[in-house]
Amino acid sequence: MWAIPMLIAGGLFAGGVLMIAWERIPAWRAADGEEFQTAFAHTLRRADRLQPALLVVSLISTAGFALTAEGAARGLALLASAGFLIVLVGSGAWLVPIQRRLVEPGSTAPASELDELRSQWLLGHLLRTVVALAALTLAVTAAVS
Amino acid sequence: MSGALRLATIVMLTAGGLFTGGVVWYAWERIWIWRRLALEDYAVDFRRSLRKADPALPILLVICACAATAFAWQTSGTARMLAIAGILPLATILVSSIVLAEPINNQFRRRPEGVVPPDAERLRRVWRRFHLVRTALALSAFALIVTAVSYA
Repeated sequence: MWAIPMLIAGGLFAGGVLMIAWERIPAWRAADGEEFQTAFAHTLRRADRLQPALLVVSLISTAGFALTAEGAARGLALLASAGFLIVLVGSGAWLVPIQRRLVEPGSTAPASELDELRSQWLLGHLLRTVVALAALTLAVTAAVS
Repeated sequence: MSGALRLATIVMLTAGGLFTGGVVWYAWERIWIWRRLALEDYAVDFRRSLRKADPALPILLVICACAATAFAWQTSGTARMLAIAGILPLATILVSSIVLAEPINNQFRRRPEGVVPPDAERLRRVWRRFHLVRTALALSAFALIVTAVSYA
């Protein structure tokens, strides 16, 4: 019951964050400040409607799978759900406040501060991608254990 | 489940999930943004995006399809039937991407950055529709191989 939503939502979520890391981050690194802020705001507008929902479904279904599984499958699924939880909490506590600052309309923050926030967000997203990939691999391994 | 089948399943699901997630991401985010860009900006962004997505997504697709073939080979009954049903849309995506999307990609890729190909508006529209169909195929393929695993 839990395996199918866990694998589908987990795969879609991890694939999405991987594509941002692989395709968007190099473009955003190369962009100047204003160009970055515009492109980043556009992406956020779309990402914020899909990625958190996929992450929550991944977390709930992986936790549900862990509760109903036994042995190694349970342990692996618990680790996977911990990974998804870290991504959720880390995004909410660290990356969302940075995002808000970066796309704040009429922001008067100096360019150096915005550059620092951009670097922090890009680093945070790369860390989130690594954790999401690890959580997906653990969830997949749990499903076949 | 044997060790070989377990390995094929893990590779199939991981590569399949990342491929489908990537394709869905393009349909959800890039296509929405590209529709709103001026053609000059679209030509630049599309060309840059191709440079990153082109090696990554086809590689994930081929890995998933090969692992799904190994999975189907080692299973029987409903699991095998569902895996084969999942391989078919993956093969369709691969062939149609080469036949339909690549000529469009090449129109942008072979020109210097910022140069808009003739008939670019039509190319953008055709590529967008093709990608939405490809996304539906990828989602159905992934759903089929995930369901196949529950019967293995």
